Order: sequence, then structure tokens, then C-alpha cells
Amino acid sequence: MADAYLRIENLVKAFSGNVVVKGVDLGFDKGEFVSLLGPSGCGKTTILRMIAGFERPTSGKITVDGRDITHLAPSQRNIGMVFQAYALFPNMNVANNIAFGLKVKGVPAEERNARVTEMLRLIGLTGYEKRFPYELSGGQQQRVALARALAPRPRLLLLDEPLSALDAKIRVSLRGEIRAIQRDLGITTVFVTHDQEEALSISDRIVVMNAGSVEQFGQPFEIYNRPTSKFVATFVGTLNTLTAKIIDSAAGTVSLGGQTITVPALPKGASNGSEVGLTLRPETVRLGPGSGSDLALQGTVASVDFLGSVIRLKLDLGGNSISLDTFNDRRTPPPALGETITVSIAPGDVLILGE
Amino acid sequence: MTRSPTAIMASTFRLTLGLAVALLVVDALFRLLTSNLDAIPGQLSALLWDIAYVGIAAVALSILSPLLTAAWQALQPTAQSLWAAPLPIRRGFSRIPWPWVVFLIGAAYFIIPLAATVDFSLKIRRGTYSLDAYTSVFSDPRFQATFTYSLLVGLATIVVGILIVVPAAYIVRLRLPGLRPFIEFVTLLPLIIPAIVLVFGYIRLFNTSSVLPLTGSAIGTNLLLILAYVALALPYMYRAVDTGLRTIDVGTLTEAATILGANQFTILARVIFPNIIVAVLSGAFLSLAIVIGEFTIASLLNRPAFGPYMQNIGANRAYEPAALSIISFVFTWLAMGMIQLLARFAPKTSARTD
Repeated sequence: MADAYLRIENLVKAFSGNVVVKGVDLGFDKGEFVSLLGPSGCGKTTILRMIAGFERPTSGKITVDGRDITHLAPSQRNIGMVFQAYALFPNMNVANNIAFGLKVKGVPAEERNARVTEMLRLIGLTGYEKRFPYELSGGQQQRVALARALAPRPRLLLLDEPLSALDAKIRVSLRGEIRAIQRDLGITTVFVTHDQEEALSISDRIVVMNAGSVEQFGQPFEIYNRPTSKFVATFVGTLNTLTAKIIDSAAGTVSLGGQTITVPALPKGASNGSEVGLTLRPETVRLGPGSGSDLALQGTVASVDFLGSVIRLKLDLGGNSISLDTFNDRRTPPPALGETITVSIAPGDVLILGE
Repeated sequence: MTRSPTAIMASTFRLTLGLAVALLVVDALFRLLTSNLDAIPGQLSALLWDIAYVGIAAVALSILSPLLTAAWQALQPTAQSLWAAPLPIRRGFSRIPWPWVVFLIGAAYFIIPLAATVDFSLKIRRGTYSLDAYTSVFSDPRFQATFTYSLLVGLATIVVGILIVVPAAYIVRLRLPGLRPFIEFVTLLPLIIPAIVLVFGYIRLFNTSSVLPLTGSAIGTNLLLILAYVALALPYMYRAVDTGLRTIDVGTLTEAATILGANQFTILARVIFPNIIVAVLSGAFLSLAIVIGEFTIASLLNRPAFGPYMQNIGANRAYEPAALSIISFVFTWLAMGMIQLLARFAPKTSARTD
């Protein structure tokens, strides 16, 4: 953290008394792709806009490569940014859009043209120099916007929900392209999104935010599998919560559905006989009785959602309700609605989360 | 959507009172600016009378407002059915295509006087049609001189107007959106204050014994004329530019250009202006159409403009004025046509999702 390339220290932003960013500390490494993930209004866009210089922090500090940029004008920060609404200049063709940043910096025409050609090759739009933004599809426009942001060789790339305005298929293919280009150039990138799947698939690390504070900062695998709070666990992915009774808090045993299981870690100070919420991901619940120390539960099928490769079932466990994901298998049709089935849970997959 | 008569009265009273106060402020300012010190008591009593008149008018309008509202609502269905799709079965009275009848009456209102003027302008020779009146007008050196003068003043008005209005509308839209209602009201003032009031104010403020004696020289008076025309064209110019700004995402485009290193001037000149040029030009052509035929200000500032020339010809000749009105009419229509034509070249934006 000490030698982080982009450092945010105790950043606070208040809009007329309403504090939207509450003392955030973050450090991003050089060449890293970091996502700011959270529901709308959590402060992620405000942080990005403060890095860009469009919002002035109420207090706190932002440094890039050791240099304090907190009070620099956006035009002096040498940062590239891609906006949700593409924001290409409608009066300029693709080449002029890409060259704009170089032109205002006074780069000679020859060098500028070479850079435009290079950028067009990078985004796979060679031959589109003379097209105007309205002649391009949304995906192409956003690629041009990316090229425009990258052309002046910025120190930092900021992406403000760049995929939100696109159709689902383009969104997936473009995010792959953005990631490939970012890896290729090794540019430190901050990506703002409210789409957890997008954040998980694209990032080196994810900052999960809620109500102006950082909930968790870590690698996607860590965020998904070891969420540190209930908010992170529910916001990133789907979560089942089962109410169990503590039998012996020291030994970590609880009773669920009349069976006793040993769970990884119970909250400190939990008294025997009190209730505790066990949480688990839908994909950790398996069809069938399982083996060994697995907990087997019986329930009736309340709903069946066929999602293609995955089938999502909802089971009624008598007081508790649980959803589980299972892979589609063409040889065995999914259980029918109302059918009573047995599912199993490995105690190691159970998460116990504080608020 | 029916409201009680008292509610209508109350809201009308508030609205008229608001307008009245605004008018009175303008009235008071004007009186103070244009009167001598010893005349101020007299002006104040006149102002008090004005307040009384306006108050009575507001009360009277409020009392009548429920009746007016009822009448308006009664008219609404008729107004709507006039433009509604034709009924499938028509008998008797309803077989008459009423929308077309109304349209033709409206068109006749404009076309008949115009046709009569064209007819008259061609009849300078007894018993035969000729273009002599037009030839006479075009060969008159004063026509060429005054028309050129007004055209130049019009172009200067457009340049000054653009330099004032485009940055102002841009800043208001970007940074001071709360000021928009106020700015819109200010830009409408030239429609409320008659040109004659404006020019008398100018003459009082900028006469030869004032701090800034603009009327003392021809150049100064020309400048004053241009500034007066900028004020006259303000409502049209501001609205046109503001409409243009509404079609683009001013905020995001500005941010995109800023982060690429552009300064405010570059953003206005290279990003904002080229994208609203069509709207600006439509405002410009409207301004030109107003300036070309303007009489009051040009006449009272004693400038050799086209408006006073037309008036002069109208007072002294018979057929040439008709030809002149047709010429200026054609010019105005060309300007309007240009606006329509230019709209096709507006930069297009597209929010495609594919």
C-alpha cells in the first residue's frame, strides 16, 4: 500500500452536508485493473470523478506515482476517461476524435496521425478514420472513445460504467476487449460498475462499496468466496441464509433441521442455544444425500428456473428456504415442482457473516 | 383537472402580481434613469399611479379568471376535434372538411394582401403589367446604400450576438442551471419593452453630454445601433442557442474535452460551437430578418438604414413601396428557408446500444 501507484487517502466528499464518500483509503498498483463495485449512490462514481478532477474532495488526498494531484485541474492530470454515454464529439470523425487530446497538447500532425493509426489498429477499427460517430454502432463508438482516451498516453485510465449503455452480448465481448487492451498497454485502470458479474470477470481486484465506505477490497475469488460482510456476500452473487441453533459455541457445532454439524467459525461471544444465520452460495448446495460429514436436508421444490447451462431450484425446507444451482445435464431432467428431494451441504462451504 | 374558482382566482392573482411587480421594477428603473433630479417627485407620483393601475388590473383579471378558464375548457374539445383523424362516416354538415376550411381561411388572410401587393407593384404602367417598379427600386442608389448598410449592421449584430449569447447560454447550462428561469426572463425583456422606449433610453444615456457620448459620432451611433439590435434579437438568439445546446450532452462533452487537456476556450470553439452551429445560424437568420426591416431605432438614431428608406419611399411614391415590401418579404422568406435547409446539416448524435 505504501508504494501504491494510485493512492487515495482519507478521501471525503460531502454535497451540501450530505456525506457521500466517508473517509476512503485505497491503494492501487501500477498496471492493475481495479473495479469500484456497489449499488447506485454508494459513492463509487464520486470517487472516480474526484480522481478525474471533476469533483473537488471535501478533504483527503489523491496521489499518482507519488505526485499529489488533489488540487490539479482535470486538464492537467494526464488521465484518460471513458464515459457511459460515449461522449464522442459529434462534429468530428473518428480520426479527429482520437487525435483531439494530441491536438490540444500541440503534438505535430505527423506524430498525431501515426498515433491515430496505431490506436485504430489497437481497437480493430482500421479504415474507419473518416466515419462520423453517428455512423458507428454503440460498441464501435465506445471503442473509439477508449482509443481517444488512450491516445495521449495517460498515466491512468478511468472507465465510468462504459458498458451500461450497450446490449448484453456486446457488453460481454467489449469487456473482454477492454481487458485485453489494458493488459497489452499495462495501464493502471479504475473501472466503475454496478454489475457484479462484470466486476468479477474483468478485474485484478475489486473494491466493494456501500453507503460511501469501502466494504471489502480484494481479488474477485476472495470477494466471492470469503466475503467479510453480509453486504458483500449478498451484493456479489446470490446467497442463502438458514437459521440454525448453536449447540456448542466453543466446538462450533450447530443444529439445523434436527442434524448437528460443525461449521468453520462462529461469531465470538455467541451463547449456546441462541440462533445464528448460516449463509451459503447456491452452487455449494448439491443434489443428492452427499457423503461423510455432509449435511443432508429434505425439502420440496418451490420453483425451477431453467437458465440454459445452469438450473436454479428453490427448495422449501420447512421454515427455511434455499436456492441451489446445478449444471444442466441432458440425461437427467430437473426435479419437478412440488417434488420432495434431498440436498447436501459440505460444512466447509458454510459462511457465518456479521452484519 | 377541475379546480375550484377560488383556487383559480388565487393562482391567477399570484401570477399577475408577479408579472406586475417585474414590470413595475422595469418601469421604476426606466423612470429613474431617464429623469432629471428635480423631476423625480413627479415621476414617483406617476409610479404610484402605475402601481394602483396594475393592482386593479390584477384583481380584475383574477375575478374574471374562473370565467375565462371555463370558457377555455369549453373550447378545448372543439379545438382538439379539429385536428383529430377524420371520422369514418360523414353525413351532411360533417361532410365538409372543416380542418381544410379553417386552413384556407387562415391562408387567405395572409395570401390575399400579399397577392394584392404583388398585383399592384406590377401595375405602374396603365393597362399592362411590368417590372418597372422593381427596376426603379433596384436602380435607386439609396436602395443599394441603405440595403448594404442594414445588411452590414445585421452581420455585425449576429457576430456580437453570438459572442455574447453562446458563452452565456453555455455557462448557464453547464454551471448555473438555477439561473435559467431568470436568464430566460431577461432575454424576453426586449419583447416586453418597446423599441421606442429602448431607443429613447439609449439617447438619454449616451447623448453628447453623457459620460459615454456615443451619439456624438457616426461610428458611435453605428455601435449603439448594433448593440440595440443585439438586444432586440436577444430573445430569438438565446432561444435558438439554448435549443441547440439541449440537443447535445453539454456536461459530458465538456468533461470529455477537459480531461483530454482542452481549456474552456478550446472547448467552446472546437466542441460546443460546431455542434450547435445550425441552431446558431437559425438564430442569426432570424436576427437578420428583424434587423433588415427595422425602422424605429434606426430612424430615431438617424442612421441610413433600409427601414427608414422604405418608410421614406412609402411616403413619397405609389408603386415602388409595394415592390419594396415584396422584395423585403422575399428576403425574409429566404432567410427562413435557409434555417429549414440548414437543419439538415446539423451534426447527428446517436445513442446506439449495439
